[in-house]
Amino acid sequence: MLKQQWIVLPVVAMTLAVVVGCGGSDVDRYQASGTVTYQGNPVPQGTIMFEPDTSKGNSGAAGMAMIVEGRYDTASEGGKGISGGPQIVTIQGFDGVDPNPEYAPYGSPIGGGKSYIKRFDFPEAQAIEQDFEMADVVDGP
Amino acid sequence: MCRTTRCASKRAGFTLVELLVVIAIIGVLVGLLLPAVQAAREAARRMQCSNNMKQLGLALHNYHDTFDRFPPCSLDGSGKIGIFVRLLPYMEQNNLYEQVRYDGNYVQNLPMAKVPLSTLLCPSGPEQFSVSTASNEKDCYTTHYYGNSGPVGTNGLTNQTYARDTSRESTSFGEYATDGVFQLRSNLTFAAVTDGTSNTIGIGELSYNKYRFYRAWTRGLYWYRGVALLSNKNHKWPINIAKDGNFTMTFNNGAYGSHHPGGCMMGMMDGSVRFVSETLDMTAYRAAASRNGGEVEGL
Repeated sequence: MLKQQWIVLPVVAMTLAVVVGCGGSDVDRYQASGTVTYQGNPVPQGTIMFEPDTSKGNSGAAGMAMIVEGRYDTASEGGKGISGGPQIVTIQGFDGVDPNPEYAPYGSPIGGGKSYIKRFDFPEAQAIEQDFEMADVVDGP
Repeated sequence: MCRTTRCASKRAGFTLVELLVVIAIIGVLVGLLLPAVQAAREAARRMQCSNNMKQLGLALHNYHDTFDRFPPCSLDGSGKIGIFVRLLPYMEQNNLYEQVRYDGNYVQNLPMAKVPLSTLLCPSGPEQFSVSTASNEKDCYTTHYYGNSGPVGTNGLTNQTYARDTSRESTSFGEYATDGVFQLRSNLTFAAVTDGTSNTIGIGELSYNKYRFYRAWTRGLYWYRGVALLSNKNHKWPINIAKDGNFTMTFNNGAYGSHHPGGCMMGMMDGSVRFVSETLDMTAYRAAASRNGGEVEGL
């Protein structure tokens, strides 16, 4: 009887360790999707990043999605959901024209050297759908 | 008393059930052990990577002791030598440093890059060579560590945009941030790191397999209608975001990251090395990448 208890104890301990150790540690993420255009034309290729706006008290991990033919969706491959609330949106779009595999594999960045960085107030804890027009920022003052 | 052979034949061999039970037990044990072994191997590689960064941090400090400034990423646009070539005498590679040629441009120093320098390669990074399509850069080793040029984005404390040298930017290579520690002809000292050396990133790790801009480790800043950063990179994108290879970015914006699970290593200016999580808040990340933004919170 005593011998059996000695076997049970490590088994229980091991199971507990596995259950605790393999628990999920990911943050809550929500999907975002929509279109990205520049001067009305869809952006062929690029990346969109959503980062929590700390100046409005938000915090958390950044979300991102690939832009393909003017559309982005954090649920598609390579994307990461956003954390909800006020966000700073950064877009890097490429025109796909005359790509150079050596240093510009997706063509030239849209808007030249100017970065698209803009603040948005998204609702907390829900999926969003938002369209972006890059000319708002990169052609702005 | 039985004869030996008959006794042996009675007990020789196992039944099928016994065999299956033994195999099952061994299988379970191996299944339990294998991930642990892999994790231990990865932990050792990460430790090696952390040690590499520590060496680079110490080399930076020794360089500063000698020249009273941190190394610039280049003195001109020919990209002859980058940060890590300048650090060679301070990581016991003086004989390699003596091979540096100062005529021509970076091409003259490419034979140096055919020497593997294990201090510049993370053991978890599968791609050890330049991925340039240029024939003269074939078989040249690359670096998995890049100096911090500065953050691109907005300062969370002041809501100002971090400084960039837009006059030297081109559409081909992208932004050139200047709030970091390594720039063209820079002569920044410890005194210039006003956010505190333990709060400022000096060297970042960029060692994932699918990075498209690995170049020879000897190269510095190259000018082609704009600045191309080869031994330092901007901090613009979250850590590990480009690991799967579909992420689009410009040449100068290192999307830092590694195959260490959950993040990558960052060497701070005080010589310490931190493991930085990929879920790090971007504002805190940029604060750590700027040397003088007034945001003194550490990573």
